[in-house]
Amino acid sequence: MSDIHSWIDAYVVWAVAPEEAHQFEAHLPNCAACSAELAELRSVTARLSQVVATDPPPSLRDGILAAISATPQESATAQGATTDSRHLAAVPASTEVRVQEATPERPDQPSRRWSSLLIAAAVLAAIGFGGWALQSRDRANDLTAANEQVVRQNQEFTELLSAEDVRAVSGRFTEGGSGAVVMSRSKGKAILVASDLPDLPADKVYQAWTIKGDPVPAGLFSAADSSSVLELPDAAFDAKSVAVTIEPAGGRDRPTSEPVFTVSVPQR
Amino acid sequence: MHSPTEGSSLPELLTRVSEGDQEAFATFYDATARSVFGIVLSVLRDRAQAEEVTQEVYVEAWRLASRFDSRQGSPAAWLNTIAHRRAVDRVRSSERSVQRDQRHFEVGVDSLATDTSDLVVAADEGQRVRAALNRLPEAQRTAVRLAYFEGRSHREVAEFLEIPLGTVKTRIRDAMKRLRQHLEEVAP
Repeated sequence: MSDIHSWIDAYVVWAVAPEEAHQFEAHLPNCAACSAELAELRSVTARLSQVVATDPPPSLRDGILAAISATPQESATAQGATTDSRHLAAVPASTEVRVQEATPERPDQPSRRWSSLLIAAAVLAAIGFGGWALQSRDRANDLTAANEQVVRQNQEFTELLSAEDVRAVSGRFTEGGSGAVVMSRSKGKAILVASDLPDLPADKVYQAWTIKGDPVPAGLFSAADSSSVLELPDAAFDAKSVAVTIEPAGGRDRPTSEPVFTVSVPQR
Repeated sequence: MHSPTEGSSLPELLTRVSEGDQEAFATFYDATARSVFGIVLSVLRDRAQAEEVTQEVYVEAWRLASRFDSRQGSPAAWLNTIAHRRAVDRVRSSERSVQRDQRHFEVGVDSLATDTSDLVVAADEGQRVRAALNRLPEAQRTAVRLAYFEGRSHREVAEFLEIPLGTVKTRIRDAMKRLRQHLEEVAP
């Protein structure tokens, strides 16, 4: 293999293998020339991205601003990271690549889990789920049967969010409102949370579908005061996507209308 | 409470973001989102996934704004690096990367130059950079497309083009060197 300085171009376009990235990052703090060159190369790649600049949907902006308002910031100092990876991220990007190696017990597992948890929390914050949680905590003071259920739901929810393999994704309903799918195979739980949904006429219902090939019915729900929570069948774990349609009361075996909500399930 | 964020430079905005200024973050987002979403979409080729990854990128930028170090490049370069890495890492960890590869192969490596279907080309800066890209020898341009815009590892590029790994590295290195020269000539 050629000398490590020459890896810089492959590194800057992130074409290196994870172990090569680690080696190069270990080299960086000791090489002023590479550090300086890296800064220049990164301005080149940043400009390359202008070639493919694309308007994101406006809903993404709303989701991101909501997510960051619920996300704590980290202080300027971090321990144990190389200069470059610290500059970029607390979770070295190559950690993500390791996911595909299916080796669950790694020293970096806590940081990965922390990152998943943050994402899941951010996804839920993005759809206004935090409001529901607070509201239900207040109500928990008077223990009616309904509220006990809410409290239990919240506990289950906290447990789901703390799972190491939690996956979460959010999206918008075309008719208004937003939704998120959160799942953890290890906890055996997958849920769809929807907020601010428009009320439907009495003879209509929201129906969820898991999709991997043909859509499979995944449950019915209606608009709630705050958030609707639907527990999804196990098929959700292997689904490519989760969708919602508006169907006649009682639901249908197959969708009879276009989806009002679709999210791709993050693959693990 | 805060001074207006309109007209602030990216480094100024990022400093304020690191102090928890959400208004500055919104302005920072508006100034950078087209480029970030564009490169993420270029690598992932899937709008739903591109939106998810773009959200991860900005949440990370928010969390880690205080770690930004101007000696290591501009805020735009910092953010772009996070975006590109996250997109590539997502695609490599995705079970669907095989399908994506097939689709990329069908589309062909020249798609960037000719088929921009859902990619809106940035008017000025984008055209300058595109011109610089088009001045590269075909082999180098292809290497940059596969590695940067499609997020392939150099091994994948080597297999796809059926050339030695060393040649891929050389092409990427030469391409980056030339791009730097070309872009310096047309610096905005």
